[in-house]
This record gives sequence, structure tokens and C-alpha cells, in this order.
Amino acid sequence: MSAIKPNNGSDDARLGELLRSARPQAELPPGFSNAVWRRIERANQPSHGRSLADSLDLLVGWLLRPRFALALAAVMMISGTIAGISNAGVNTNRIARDRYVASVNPPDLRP
Amino acid sequence: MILASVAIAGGSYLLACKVCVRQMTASGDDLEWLHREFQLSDAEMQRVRALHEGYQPRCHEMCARIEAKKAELEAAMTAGQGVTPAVREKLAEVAALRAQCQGNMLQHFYEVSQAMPPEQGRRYLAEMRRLTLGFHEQFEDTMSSHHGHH
Repeated sequence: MSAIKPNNGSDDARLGELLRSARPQAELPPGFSNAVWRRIERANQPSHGRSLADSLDLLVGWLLRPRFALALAAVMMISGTIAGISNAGVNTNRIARDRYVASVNPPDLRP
Repeated sequence: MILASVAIAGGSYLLACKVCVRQMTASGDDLEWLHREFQLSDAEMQRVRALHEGYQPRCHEMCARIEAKKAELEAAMTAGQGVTPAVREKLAEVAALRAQCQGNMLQHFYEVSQAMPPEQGRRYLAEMRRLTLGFHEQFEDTMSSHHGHH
């Protein structure tokens, strides 16, 4: 207890300096605060004031949300399946036709 | 994101296509196309099937004869140097058998077309001529255009 010295203003200052030097402050990139203010302004702008790039950014951000990404994946899967089933009809017809022709057109007569 | 969507759509398309085609062609019936394409009734299908089954043995017999004649041609070509009279004779015999086979095939097409309703019969005949003889005509046209014959 006798080792504890009374609080000294100069010790506080030295402690503050030590703490600041232990955690160096990174310098902000040039124009950082301007860029932040621009983003805040853009976010607060009404939709008709946004540029195409901003609108695309907004759309992609919206789509990347899990539920919308899942919905989009489901829509793509259903569309692909429907297209595949439709096309299967055409392919099946061609395969069936070729099978019949092969059964009546001898190999020797084929080019 | 775009690539993933395209991959999902493409994968679904291919899988659906493959599964459906496999299911629809599982019957293995050579005459399935006729039934579907020309909307033939059961009675018409029966007649066509009878013609088809009658034609098959003749077709196989002709194929066997042509194969035998081709083997003779091969032997003649191996035996002599160049295009000998024996080779020419065998070539002519092979060609004659092929022409006979082609004639039989066309005759069969006519018979089948008559077993169908008139409109379907005409369509069937046109399609079969296009699919069988049409290839030869295209080949001949290509050859004649390459060599400047008109």
C-alpha cells in the first residue's frame, strides 16, 4: 500500500501518450469523408434521382438476400425444367423417326 | 450470381430433357413414330405392323445377299491388280442387288402409305422419300457441284 503513489497529472499525460502510441491511428484515404457523405446522400435520394448503376447495385443487393436468391434459383430451375420437357418432345420424335427409318432402310442403302 | 442462375437453369433443362426422352423412348417399338406422327388408329396400326413384319425378313435376306456379294467383290479386288473384268462384274452385281433392295424398300413405302388415310399416306411417302432417297440426291448434287457437272 505504501508503494502506491498519489495520482499525478504528468503520469496521466504519459499514460495517454503510451496508449496512443500502442494503437496507431490509420490514416484515412484521401476523399474518404466526401465519399461517405456522397453515399449518405445517394441513399437518401428518391428513386427517380438514382443513376442506372445505382439502381443495378440496389437490385443486386436485393437479390442477394437469401430468400430472394432462393426464389430466383427456384424460378430458374422451374423454367429450365419446363424448357427441357418441351424440347424432349422434339427430341423424342426425332429419335423415334430415326429408329423407324433404320428398321426399313438397310445399312447398305444409307450414305 | 448470374453464372449460378444460368448453371441451375441449364442443369435443370438437360436433366428434364434426358429423363423425358428416356421415358418416352422406353417402349422400343420401331413403329411408335408412325403411330404418333400420323395419328393412326389401332386398325391402321395393325395393317401397317403386318406390312412391316412381312417386309423385315425380305429386307434382311437382301442385306445378307449384298454382304455376300461385297465379300466376293473384296476377294476379286484382292486377287487381281487394278479394276479387272472380274472386279467390274462383281461391282455390277453389287449395284444390281442394291437397286433391287431400293426398289423393294420403295414398294414397301407405297404399300404402307396405302394402309393409311390418303393425306397421311401422302405425307408419309414424301417424308420417307426425303429421308432415304433424299440423302443420295444431296450427295450426288454435292459431288456434281464439286466437279462442275450440271
